[in-house]
Amino acid sequence: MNLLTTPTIWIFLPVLFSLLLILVHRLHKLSVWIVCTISLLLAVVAMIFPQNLDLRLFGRNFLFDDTFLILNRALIITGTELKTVAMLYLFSFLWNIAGMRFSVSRWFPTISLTITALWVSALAVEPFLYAALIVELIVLISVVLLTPRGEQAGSGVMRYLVLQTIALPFILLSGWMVTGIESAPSASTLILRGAVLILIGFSLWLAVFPLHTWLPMLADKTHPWVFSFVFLMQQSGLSIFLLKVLDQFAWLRNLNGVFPAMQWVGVLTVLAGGVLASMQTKVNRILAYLILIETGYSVLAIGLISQGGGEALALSFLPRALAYLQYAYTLSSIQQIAPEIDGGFPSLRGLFTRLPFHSMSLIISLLSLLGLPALGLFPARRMLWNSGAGLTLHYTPLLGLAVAGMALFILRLMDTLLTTDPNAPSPTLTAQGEESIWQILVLCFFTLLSLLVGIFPQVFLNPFLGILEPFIHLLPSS
Amino acid sequence: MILLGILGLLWLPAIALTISQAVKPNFARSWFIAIAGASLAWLGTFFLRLYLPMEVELIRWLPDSLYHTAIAFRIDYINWHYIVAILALCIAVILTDSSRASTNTTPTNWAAALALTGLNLISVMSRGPLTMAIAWAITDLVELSFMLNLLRNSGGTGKVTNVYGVRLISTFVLVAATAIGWQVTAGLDFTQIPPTASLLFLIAAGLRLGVLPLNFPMQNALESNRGIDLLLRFSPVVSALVLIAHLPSEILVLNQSLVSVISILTVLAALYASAMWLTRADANEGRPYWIVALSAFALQSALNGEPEHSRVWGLALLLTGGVLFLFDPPIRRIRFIPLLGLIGLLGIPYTLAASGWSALLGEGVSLAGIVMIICHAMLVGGYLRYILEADSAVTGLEKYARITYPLGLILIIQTMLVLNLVGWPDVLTIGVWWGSLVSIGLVLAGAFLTKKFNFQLTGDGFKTKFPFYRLGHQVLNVLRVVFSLDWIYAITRWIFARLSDIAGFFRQVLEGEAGVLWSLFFLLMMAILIYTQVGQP
Amino acid sequence: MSETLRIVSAALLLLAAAINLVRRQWALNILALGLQYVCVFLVILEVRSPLLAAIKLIVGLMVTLMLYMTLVSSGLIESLLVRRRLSSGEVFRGTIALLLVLISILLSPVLQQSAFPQSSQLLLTASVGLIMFGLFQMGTITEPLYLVIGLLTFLSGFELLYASLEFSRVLEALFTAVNLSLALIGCFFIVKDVESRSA
Repeated sequence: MNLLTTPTIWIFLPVLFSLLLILVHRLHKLSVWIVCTISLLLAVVAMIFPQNLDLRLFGRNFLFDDTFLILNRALIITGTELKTVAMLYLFSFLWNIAGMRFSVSRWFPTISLTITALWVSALAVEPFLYAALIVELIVLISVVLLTPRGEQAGSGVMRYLVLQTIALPFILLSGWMVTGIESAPSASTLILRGAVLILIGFSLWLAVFPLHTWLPMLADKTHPWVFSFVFLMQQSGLSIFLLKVLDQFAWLRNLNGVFPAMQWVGVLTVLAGGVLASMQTKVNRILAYLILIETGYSVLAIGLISQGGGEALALSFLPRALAYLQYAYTLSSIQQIAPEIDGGFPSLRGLFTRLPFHSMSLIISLLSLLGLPALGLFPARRMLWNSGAGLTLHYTPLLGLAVAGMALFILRLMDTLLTTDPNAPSPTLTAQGEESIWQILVLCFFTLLSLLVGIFPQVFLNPFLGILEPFIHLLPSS
Repeated sequence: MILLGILGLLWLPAIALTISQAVKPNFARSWFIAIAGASLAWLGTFFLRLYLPMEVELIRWLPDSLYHTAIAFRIDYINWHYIVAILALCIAVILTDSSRASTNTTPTNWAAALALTGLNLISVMSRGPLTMAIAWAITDLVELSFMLNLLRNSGGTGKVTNVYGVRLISTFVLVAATAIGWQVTAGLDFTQIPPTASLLFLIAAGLRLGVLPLNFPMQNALESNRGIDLLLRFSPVVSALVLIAHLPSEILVLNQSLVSVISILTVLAALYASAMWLTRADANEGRPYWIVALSAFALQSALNGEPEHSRVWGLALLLTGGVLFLFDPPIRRIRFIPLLGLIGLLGIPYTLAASGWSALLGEGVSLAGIVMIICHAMLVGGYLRYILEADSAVTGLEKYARITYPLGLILIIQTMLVLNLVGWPDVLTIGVWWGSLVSIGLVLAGAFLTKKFNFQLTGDGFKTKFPFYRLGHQVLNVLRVVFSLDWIYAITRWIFARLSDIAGFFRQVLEGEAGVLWSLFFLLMMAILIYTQVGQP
Repeated sequence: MSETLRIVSAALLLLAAAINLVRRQWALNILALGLQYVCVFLVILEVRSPLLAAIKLIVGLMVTLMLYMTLVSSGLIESLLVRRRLSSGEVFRGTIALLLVLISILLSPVLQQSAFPQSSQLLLTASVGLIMFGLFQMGTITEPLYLVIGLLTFLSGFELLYASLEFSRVLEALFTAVNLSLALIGCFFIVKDVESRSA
């Protein structure tokens, strides 16, 4: 068995470390530092690893194999796929290093590393539709994190488990159904059935509208830090997996109506997210709608693949992660400083007077996700809006309505944060110096980073275009 | 290089002031740093005049095939005078700030003024809508932070949301307009705005100015007599005015009826705002109306197919308005200085505003044109009233303030005169001479009647003596109710509440016990939809 | 294996699933779940060698045992011999169970003809029945044990169907991992539920 393979480094090694970390999971700080080091190391190595996998180290050449054979099947991580791997480990690093001060589950470092390794393996397994079972495993592991400490499992987490499990047969059956039908006419019944199964499977996995109902239920009960990590990984992993499916299945991408269907699903999901968000009064739940909106944009980007949607998707991974990070960090920090804040609007009233930097950070992270010019997500968003407007003018008002909905929520939240309750004691008296200089610096750093990404996308985002390199059939020019 | 130098001259002193305040506060040194930076930047702009039009590309987003975007500046005859005006205002604010005993003059405010002016310059100099959108967004965020910091201790932060909300919407309308414009020219700049998108650009500018739809988001939020507040008030206005000036003159080829509707709304906004301006208790209270009225003038110029001439009214808004609003304390002895500010508004032949009349009145004599002349007369009348009513006899000014205060006002007048000579080619023109004549005639008639019947616009005597006072008052009240848009907000809130109820009901159903079954039902529907739609030729 | 035994297994399989849907008695449900896995083993012998089929049996019995042990440790499990009258809900669910069995019997020939020609009707009846029972169970109850039983039933049905379509060792291993993880999650839910009840 050849162990000098890329899957050994980026799948088995972290899984092994995860297993070892179980032994020290009670030593939370140690676990976090170990996971941070491993994640960062794996991300950096993946980023700088030679594409031909021929590594020259200490004067010696190490030629890595991209394939690891297991039970007659393979795990393959090619040189071009390492950018994706780097991104996933970078996310794991960010969530572990920044989340050290929050009282999330002691298992978070261990499980987050496992989840990352499993997402890498889901993208590496061949036949690639077997990834469905790996995704199911990820869901099962995530459930442990998503169940709040000291409380019984809520209906949100159960519904999550149920609907993600229902997706499994759709994906696996589609793989079996379409085996060897590349040569069939594009409108054959088998191809149609295969397409329906795959699209339904992905709809369930991605929780597009109207299959998203569990998302807000889950967000309401789960720690925002955990929620944002689990669903950032899921969203990013599944988006790339969907690209892979479209790249591998010529019959699917050549089928009439597949891309328009995705565009409509994307637009309607964005719209539903925006409109529903506008009516929310809990900042925890809004995280779910943010995920929903971002999912919509991802699906729309894939639907607009021939109009530059792929690039828009690739450019959105990092700024989206940073915006989630900032939002979840700020929210978690607020709840850590003031545990009496339950996320509802009444409890947030006048918070600006008490925690001005946190309040501003919350608003700025939401504005970034809205696609405000100068902030991180704008370059990618603008590409999508332009492509959408170029294709059909039907999308423009719907996307406009979604943006308006989200903007309305932000303004309502802002109003709540800024308006002091006249009956409450003066916050300036009750809460002086609640924000430490360290917290302020971190929040300012997030904002500055978002601005830098938004103004210099060519520096911060272009490396992520490499994520598209493996999809040579879907995006021949990349 | 000069351009970057100008920005450096604003931002570096701002940083230096902040650091110096934190380390070793010294009022005189700070004042000198601020005034030196701003003055050098202002003088630098006159060098730029020699190289017009000029372009500077700051950041290009590469690869070009992907982004089609560069953050770039262009300075030409459409925006150069605005740059001069903003810098003049910045200097004037710093010069006059120390004379106001009522406000808390701090070097931090000067640092903010410099930084804000620098940001403002970026949006004014933008080569394309995307640079402008980015500049708007950053300026809005900086202003938001600054305003919140200012208002934090007073607890009056509520109105800030409305202000920021309107700005946010206008930024996104600008982005939408850009998206539509890109369908014609990818990476378009201001010289390539297609007529199909120009209306959205106009609405983006109109929103920021508070004209389309008429809104006074800043009313009561920030109407103090601090100099920095004036800059905060003018900063969104000036970049929107530049946007209007950039619009293509073929705007009228669009849907005629839509343009007519917008034109009517603009004229009504101008009428309402100028009437309100005329009847306020003091200039500070009337400031939002001044801004809206002259912004409506600029919009009307664009709607009449002469957007580049909107600059005249924009400059009047900034410079003439600047003189008046910075005339605080309103010392009786020197009220001739702000009176000179009228040069920028009257539009008499061969003055700065002369070329604005043709754009404002359009071709021939029209009802809109007549209304606009009346509005103009009311603006001039109000302006005169606020100066002539000035009766402060402040004697307690510091020694240096006795020089700096009038100097600040004179600097703005000087700027007007300089722009009157070199603002743009053909700036010296007769214009539609009778426009200013009629307007001045109306003002004089008004003044005569006021004198004869001893009217006091804000006093009780006016109510009894003015023959149509009750009717006029009622009309103004109705207009105020209509234009306050409170009724729209009330209806919107009602609809929003009902929609929230409906959404709440559905949420309960979908998140209730049968949620999974509902999901399965939706799944089935989706499958049917996909099955029937996908694969069809 | 004789056809009769397979038919009996399939019938017992559906009966076990129906018991889990209808009755709310933990001990009985665990027993029915175990029986369900034994029947799955017998039915799957049609398409798998006994050695490979035994994997599913062993995994199924382990899953059942894990759940049983958790319930026992919670101290809330009642004796199997406790007799309770049928509630109106149980009668309703019983009717639904009958309907589901009927649907799976009627649907299997159609499915065989249109989509899965290589699978036998009996296997299709069993798998479709299990999938529908599982879905119904998941859709109508949120109590952790029944939800996990619903999920396991659903997965068993699908595994049965997929076994007739394709064989892969990796897939078998992954299914095993998923089943065991699901059982662990089930135990986790039950423990959390019990803890919060006692708190």
